[in-house]
Amino acid sequence: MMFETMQKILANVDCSYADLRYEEMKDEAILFKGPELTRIGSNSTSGYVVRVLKNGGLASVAFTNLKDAEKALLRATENALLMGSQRRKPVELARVKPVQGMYQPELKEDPRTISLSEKLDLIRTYNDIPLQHENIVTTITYYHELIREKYFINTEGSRLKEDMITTQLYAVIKSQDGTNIQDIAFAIGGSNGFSKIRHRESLFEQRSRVALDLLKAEPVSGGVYNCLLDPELAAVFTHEAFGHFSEADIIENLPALRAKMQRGAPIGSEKLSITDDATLTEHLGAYKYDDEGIPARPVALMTGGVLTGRLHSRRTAVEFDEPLSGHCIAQDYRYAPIVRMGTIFIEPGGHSFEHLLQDLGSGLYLIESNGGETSGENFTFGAQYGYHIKNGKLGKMIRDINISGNLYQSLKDITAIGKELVISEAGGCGKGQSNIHSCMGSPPVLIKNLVIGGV
Amino acid sequence: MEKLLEQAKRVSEQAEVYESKVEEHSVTMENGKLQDIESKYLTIINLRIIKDGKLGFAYGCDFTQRQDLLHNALKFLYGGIEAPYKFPCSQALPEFNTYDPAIETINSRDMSAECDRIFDYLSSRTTAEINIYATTRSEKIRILNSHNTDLFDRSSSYTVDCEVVYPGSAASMWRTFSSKRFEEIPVPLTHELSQLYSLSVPVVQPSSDKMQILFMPNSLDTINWRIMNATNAESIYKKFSPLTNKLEQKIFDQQVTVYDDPNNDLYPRARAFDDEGVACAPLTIVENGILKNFYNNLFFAQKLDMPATGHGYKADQSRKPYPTLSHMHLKPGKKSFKALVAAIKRGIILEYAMGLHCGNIAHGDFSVGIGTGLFVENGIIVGRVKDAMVAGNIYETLNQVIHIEDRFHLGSQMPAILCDGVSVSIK
Repeated sequence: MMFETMQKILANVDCSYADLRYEEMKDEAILFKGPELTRIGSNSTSGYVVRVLKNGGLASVAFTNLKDAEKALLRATENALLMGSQRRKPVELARVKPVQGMYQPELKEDPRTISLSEKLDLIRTYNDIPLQHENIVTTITYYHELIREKYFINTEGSRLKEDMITTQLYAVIKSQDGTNIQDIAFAIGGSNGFSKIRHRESLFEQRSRVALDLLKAEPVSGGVYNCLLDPELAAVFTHEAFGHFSEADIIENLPALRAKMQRGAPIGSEKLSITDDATLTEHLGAYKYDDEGIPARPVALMTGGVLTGRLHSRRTAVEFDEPLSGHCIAQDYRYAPIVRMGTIFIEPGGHSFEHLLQDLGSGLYLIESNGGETSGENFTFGAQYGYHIKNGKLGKMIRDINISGNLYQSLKDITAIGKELVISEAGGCGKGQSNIHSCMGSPPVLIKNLVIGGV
Repeated sequence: MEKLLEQAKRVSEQAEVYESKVEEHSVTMENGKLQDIESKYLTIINLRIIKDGKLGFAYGCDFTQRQDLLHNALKFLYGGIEAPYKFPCSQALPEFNTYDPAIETINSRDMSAECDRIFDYLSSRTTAEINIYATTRSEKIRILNSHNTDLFDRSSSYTVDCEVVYPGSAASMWRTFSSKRFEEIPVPLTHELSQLYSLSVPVVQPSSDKMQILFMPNSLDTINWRIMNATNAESIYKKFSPLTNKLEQKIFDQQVTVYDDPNNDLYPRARAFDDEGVACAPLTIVENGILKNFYNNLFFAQKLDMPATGHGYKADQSRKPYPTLSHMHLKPGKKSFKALVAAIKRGIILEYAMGLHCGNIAHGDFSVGIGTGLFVENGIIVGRVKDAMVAGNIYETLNQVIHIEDRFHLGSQMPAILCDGVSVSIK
């Protein structure tokens, strides 16, 4: 029925290509702040995004009400004509065969079959664990389940429906001793069912202990250090240091940077290989088709330090004359799709964690991520906590750790990579629009000469 | 909206319906090339009900699905979430000049032409790669509640971001111009951008040290977020804020005055009421270094037994109103921007900081990466630093204020502020 409605919308558009995406989004959320429940319930919203390619210009319009469809199409067509008239080089889209299909992820426990009261009981149980401790003053425990039913058609004959079902639990545990307040944040979940949310009591207990230990930790002194990054932190490093520059639309119109980022360019250490793979169904970043109807596929972005691949939309694939990858994604119906990472990770190396510690000798062991940001060639990312390392042995705990890096140097400063790859259950990327599905992973990684901020 | 309100009133003691309709058009020009044209026509509806002192909340985007909204709001009641407040009866609020009808006539061609003009100006004066993002936006907000509040707000804005990118680096500097109507970006704004860019092309590597930092408006969120967090009623109620018992005490240098002014309709998006229908008015947070007020929403006003300050805003369509300093300003001081730069013996003009969300925000600590920073020695801009971080605590940093700019910096609603003794780590 929805496909018929969508076909009617596109029926009269006069252009070389158009596509229409419709999404119904349903979410269910439970939020505790301390012992208080502050949010519970379900909601649904929906909307459309139309894109029109005409006379070498591509434009998009997002709209929530069906009665705005005609206005939206008119606007998209006018804007596409304007763009076409102003560009020296017309927009072209990579040729693809039309695709038809319906895709539902395989789920280990469909969250829609679990009652709200059962979810509430579980989240309350988790939330209560840290609150039992003296000096744990509050928590934020936020369960969010997002069901996106996405419909996609285009004028080439593609017709797809894909359901994306994400269950995530995000938690912050705050400890306090006098004026000293510390917190630890973490997340669990994925795109393959509610089972990932269950049986995580020991994680909440362990995180509570870290939050309490942080009260006794010292702020790190600013300086330049050799560092061992744990898998989660190294994963964020990958995303910020390199991931964004593998998105073709970021470097497309920066000629000097684009010249440095040709395939075959040595960008990183010889030990470093990086892949993006949105087909890993057990992880948060999984999807079958992107929002242009292109199937996702694994992409070797870097191999032995050399740039070997890039993430593309249909438009950028033509611009760069490179293969399609299926990485054109929108946050939801309010946005046109842009090039996004799926699940990006550093490939495992050969070293045990103990060997990496010995290799480090003296420096810092930095653990878990506090987020990050990229601004051009510079990037920053934060660690939740860490330890001084002396002669390969763990020393005092440190906190308030933020790290700066540089695209051209930091990837080359990687000296060793561990053998156990861990894909993070926390995801998210704020490039232009949020994308909760963008996730990352890594083994532990040894990097020299990282700038750490501190007083 | 009226039908939904009536239905909601039948099942609750209090009800509120909120609707926002946004029309937005944007043009992106990258390195002189028209890259993207996007439009949006979006509607969001929120429903809140209060029954037996408990809150029901739901959101959607279509009034034809009133039953679903009501059902979801009633389901929310199951959580037993406290709502110890009354929706306001807001009548006869002042009207502000927030909307220019001509914004509806501006099309992408007009914005594209203006982007071309800005590009020509900047490209003739710099070696930069230049990106320009222009957006027109008009929004209608209406709030109805069961206490006969019926408020309507219509606003328009035109915003243009001009970004100059260092070739090969992708690091950049930018300026934002915002107005209620479509107009040409003032020449002094693009002139300053081109001048600062040209002075900062060489890359320099000074040694790490404590330095003077000139926080520009694009990096001031480093400080502002921590002030907002510390003076937010939730932080006060939960006793996380280091300012909990410090009203009327000196917390910053006497040059520092922080205030929120939602009624100033010289700038876009002035408001007469917040997203809960509570009347807005100017509020001084810090005056000459002395802490004067906290800000709240209806919930935390009740919890702290203080008057509602009219700062309940939605961060997102799916959120309830939360205390937000939506129109925050720092009061200008006495020195020109030129004088501020001249006063730097050894320091950095911090154009942009990365990772503001990192660090112990509650404590006022900051440790941020320098996205773009201009190194200054003896009042002269020497070049640009890379791979560097700035760290400190706002309660120390804002007690070491040297000077504050004598006006809102070009294109922003904040002055630049020069502080001493901030730790800088550089590779």
